[in-house]
Amino acid sequence: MILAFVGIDSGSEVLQALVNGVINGCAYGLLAVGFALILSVTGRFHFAYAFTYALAAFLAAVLERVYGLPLLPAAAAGLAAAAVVGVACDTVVYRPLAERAGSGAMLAVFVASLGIVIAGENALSLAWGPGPRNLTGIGSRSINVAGTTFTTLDVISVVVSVGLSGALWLLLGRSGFGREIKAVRANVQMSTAIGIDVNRIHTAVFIIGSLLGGVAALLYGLKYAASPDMGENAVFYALIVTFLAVSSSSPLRLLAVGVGVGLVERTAGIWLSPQLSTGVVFVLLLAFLSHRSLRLALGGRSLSIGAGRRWRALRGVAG
Amino acid sequence: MVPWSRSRRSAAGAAATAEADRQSGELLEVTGLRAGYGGRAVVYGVDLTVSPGEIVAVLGHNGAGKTTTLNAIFGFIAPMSGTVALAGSEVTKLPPVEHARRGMTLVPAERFVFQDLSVEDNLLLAAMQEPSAERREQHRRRAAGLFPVLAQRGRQRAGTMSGGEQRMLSIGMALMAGPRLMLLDEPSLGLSPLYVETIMDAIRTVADELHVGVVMLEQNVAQALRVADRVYVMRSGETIAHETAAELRTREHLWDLF
Amino acid sequence: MTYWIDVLNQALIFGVFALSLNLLMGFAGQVSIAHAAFGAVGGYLAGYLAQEHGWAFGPALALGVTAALLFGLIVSLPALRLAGEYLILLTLSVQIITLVVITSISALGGLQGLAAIPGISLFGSVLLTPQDFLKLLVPVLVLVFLLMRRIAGSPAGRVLRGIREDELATQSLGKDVFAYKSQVFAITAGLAGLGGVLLVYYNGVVAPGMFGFSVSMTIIVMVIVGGSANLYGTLVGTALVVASGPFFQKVIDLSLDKSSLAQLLAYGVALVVVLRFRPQGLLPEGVTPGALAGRMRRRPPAAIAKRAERAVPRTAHAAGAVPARVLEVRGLTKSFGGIRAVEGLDFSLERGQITGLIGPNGAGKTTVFNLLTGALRPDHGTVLLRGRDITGLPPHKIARAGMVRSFQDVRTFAQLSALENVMMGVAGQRGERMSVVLTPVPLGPSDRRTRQRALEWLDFVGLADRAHEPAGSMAFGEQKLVALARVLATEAEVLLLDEPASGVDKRWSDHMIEHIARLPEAGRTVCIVEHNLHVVQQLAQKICFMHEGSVTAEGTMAELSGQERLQEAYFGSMV
Repeated sequence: MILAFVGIDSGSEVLQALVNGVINGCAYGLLAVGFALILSVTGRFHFAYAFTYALAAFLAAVLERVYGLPLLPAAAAGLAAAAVVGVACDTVVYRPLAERAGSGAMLAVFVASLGIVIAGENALSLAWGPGPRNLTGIGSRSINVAGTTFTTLDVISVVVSVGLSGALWLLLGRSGFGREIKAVRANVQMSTAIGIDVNRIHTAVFIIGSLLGGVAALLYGLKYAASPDMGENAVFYALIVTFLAVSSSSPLRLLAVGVGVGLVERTAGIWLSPQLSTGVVFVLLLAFLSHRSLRLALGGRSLSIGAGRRWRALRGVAG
Repeated sequence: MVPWSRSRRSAAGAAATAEADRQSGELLEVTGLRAGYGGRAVVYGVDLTVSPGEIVAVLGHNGAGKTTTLNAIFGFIAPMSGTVALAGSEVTKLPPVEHARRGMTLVPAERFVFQDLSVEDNLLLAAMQEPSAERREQHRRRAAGLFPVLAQRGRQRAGTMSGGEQRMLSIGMALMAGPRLMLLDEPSLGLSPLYVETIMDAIRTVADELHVGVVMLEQNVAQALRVADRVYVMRSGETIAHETAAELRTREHLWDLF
Repeated sequence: MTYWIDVLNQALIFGVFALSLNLLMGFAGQVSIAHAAFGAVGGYLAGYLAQEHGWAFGPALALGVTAALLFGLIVSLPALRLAGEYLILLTLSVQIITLVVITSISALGGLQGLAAIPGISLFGSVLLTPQDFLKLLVPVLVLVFLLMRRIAGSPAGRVLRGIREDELATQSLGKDVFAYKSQVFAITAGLAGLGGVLLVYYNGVVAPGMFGFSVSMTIIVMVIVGGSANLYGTLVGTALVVASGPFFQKVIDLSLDKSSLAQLLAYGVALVVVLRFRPQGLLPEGVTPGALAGRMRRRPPAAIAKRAERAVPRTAHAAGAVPARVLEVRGLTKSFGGIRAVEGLDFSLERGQITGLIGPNGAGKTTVFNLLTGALRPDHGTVLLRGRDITGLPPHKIARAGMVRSFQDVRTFAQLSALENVMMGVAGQRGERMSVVLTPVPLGPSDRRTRQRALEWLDFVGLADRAHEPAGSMAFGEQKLVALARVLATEAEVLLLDEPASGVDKRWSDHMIEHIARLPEAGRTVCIVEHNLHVVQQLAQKICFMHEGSVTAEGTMAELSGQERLQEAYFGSMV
């Protein structure tokens, strides 16, 4: 009775929304883990993550369907391409921009990465057409539990997301290499002072981040389809989860926040159309940004002091 | 595991221990150093020397160019002109990692530990330049001997320790690499008088027992004079005085140096 | 032939988008990815009204532009305090959400849009062919160009550039930065709306794809490639971008679909390449026909008088019952987190005196300046300026009330000339009000007076012959002098100078000392924060010693240096 009043058809509708929320949320979490790692360690707003994401899945799909490769080598090639392009973004574009632009690098890097996304997506479309292609190769059966439906692929997806997040958590917490990554993330000056090669760590982190995003893309491509512009939406999920969870959080926390966002999205879908419920995520992002703006206003500070610096840096002017 | 960025001291470098330095004379020799940021100099021709086991204090008002000098010596900024030589060999144009490899450590004035990491992780990271596990253990015992709190709180996040404890950690970290030269930027900044005394005493002990050369930038003139051997005073990017600590201590006032 | 006119028309329409975006991004420094979304608001509204409700072109256009303008105003609210990457994110979200909302409204045609937009009937004739549209679009673009040029070249435009270079410095000179930002967002959004309406009527359809993320990016490419802050450059950039269509279709002979993809690919690559190798764009700021002609005519203004004889420009201050204590501070307190940065501070400045504020590092001196000038709001306490309570006022109001500050890190407007920097300081410029700029009031005479005044101040610090050099290319010491002239030009009575002699060698600090020493003659009251006690001693008649958040002693240098507890506080206790 109460449920009907609120507009819900049945208890199982809610349960299904929750299940879908968790499934999607794990994917969002994995996306965020990769993006947040890059952002927190290198400080770069790597919007081109949207492109490396799409590249992994789309290339794999093309190799599978057009060139007849089996899934595993195709996926491996897609992931490798994502990693290579990710590193190239840093070494060829971001690093020189940062060196020239100094403190305002983030802005120039962001705009440049937008250019990379546009260029990359359209390059893929030109080469193989913009049409979405499925990735196949993993049989998927339907499972019914307590009135909810999901597939074995969904289960694999959740397991992979949790597993990879956990693996990164272990790497960061238990290995010397992970310790160095955390050091660079915490304090670049000290890291340099004790002799860490910060550029090498940046490269490593771009590889890991691009691979994580690529895996998320592959899972999405297996469930739905891969297209050159699939990254545009995905990167927003990565962004919002990263901001809500704070970019320097542990991978497990990012995963949890991702699941939270997924749940919010799916439960909103009970009442709103699918398009609008996706819009909920952007509204969340908007709310976050407005809240930040409000906090700045109430914190008794008049202006973001770094503002002018960043613009000058974008323009390549010293001083 | 891929040793991504492990930079190890070469065998030759490792052999040049502090012991050997004691015989060779000047540990650090800086001549005519000109340095600054964004193309404009803030330090105009500074000379400085340090011998093994000696503590040299660099005093001066805020903005006099002390930190810039230190950053230029360590390679964080490339000097515009002048030379920096460590135990006779020139290191002027080398990046910081090379300075670290040759036995120089720098402890900045702020953000001098990895706040998000545990004390244990901080010490392990700082020991990156020491290839020998045995010597790393030696250094760690020495650090713990100077500052027992480091051994007791291994798993604590460095950022949750008090300011004084964090500073102790930073000195401990500097020791973990078995350095020959320590560059300390305002070790007493923000500390209560008790901690300041402890830190200064520890620095003196390190210099005496390990024959490490120390360059110490300080605003707390009194405490610096207590443990330093020689003093340089900087103002507006230049050195305006160079005396022994004893001589400076006998001055009637210090106001005209600042 | 019709094909080329069609291409030209597209260029004209996108020119409207690009010119307005350049004002927002290139001049005011607000990077926005939402420009196409503002176009969508205008275009969809006008198209809907025309198609579904039979509105005529005129009213539909007016409503569309107004709606876009209001939307721009709304978006500007959260944008006011965001900068850099957060601003981009905000505008990106606005771009996406706008389209999501539009496509979900069935009355607007969902994903298909509306396809039966009627033609434009203007003054009796109906516009059907591309040639017909040319008659409308060319005048529109010319008008938009002239409007943008007027705004950009006006004193208001100079303020926008100041906001781009350094918002805080601009605000501290007395400009209401938030008002300017709202205005420029609103105006440029309205113009984007205009572009949207034109695009919709021209194509006869309105669809979401016309105003998507790639369209916003395309407009950005037009601005950045052509040259930020250069309107002529934008025309070049727009022409190049629009011409890429025919290039790929005719020269490289790609199909229409492939050509669109190739174009977008080219835009992305162009953006990255330009940012990496030539970030100022093809025609950098200042490379305009007008400026080039001016440069050829102009000789560097000779120093107005020889140094020693240079009279100090007097500043007239309101006569009447004004207290001798120009500035009075009581009980000022500010905490950050748990740390008391300033604690019950009492402090005053006597008219016509130079007061020094010294103290060990971390005593809170710069925080005091920030609190006095409104960059920070105090937790408790009062600040009285000439008897008037200015506590908690925003920086621009305090500057207008008669107290300005300089910055330790100088903060000159790097890309503006030294003269323009100082002109920014001059108060009461009519042409700075956007409302005045938007009306056809001649701005020349008032601007000439401003220029003259600014030149006098520049001459006072001895840099009149360098008036037209970009401030960013000058030596640090020279920039400090420009910043001093800038602050003097505000004619504010009270000057708070933050470390005026730091970061420069002795020669420059002596220059600064020389100029600052003459300020009381000119009727100013000065307070300097300095760590270089030598400088303080030479300048200050009264010195306040600050320790742990409050003033613990006052007097001359001799008096203070005799006190042992001060010696202890500053140097530590001598054991």
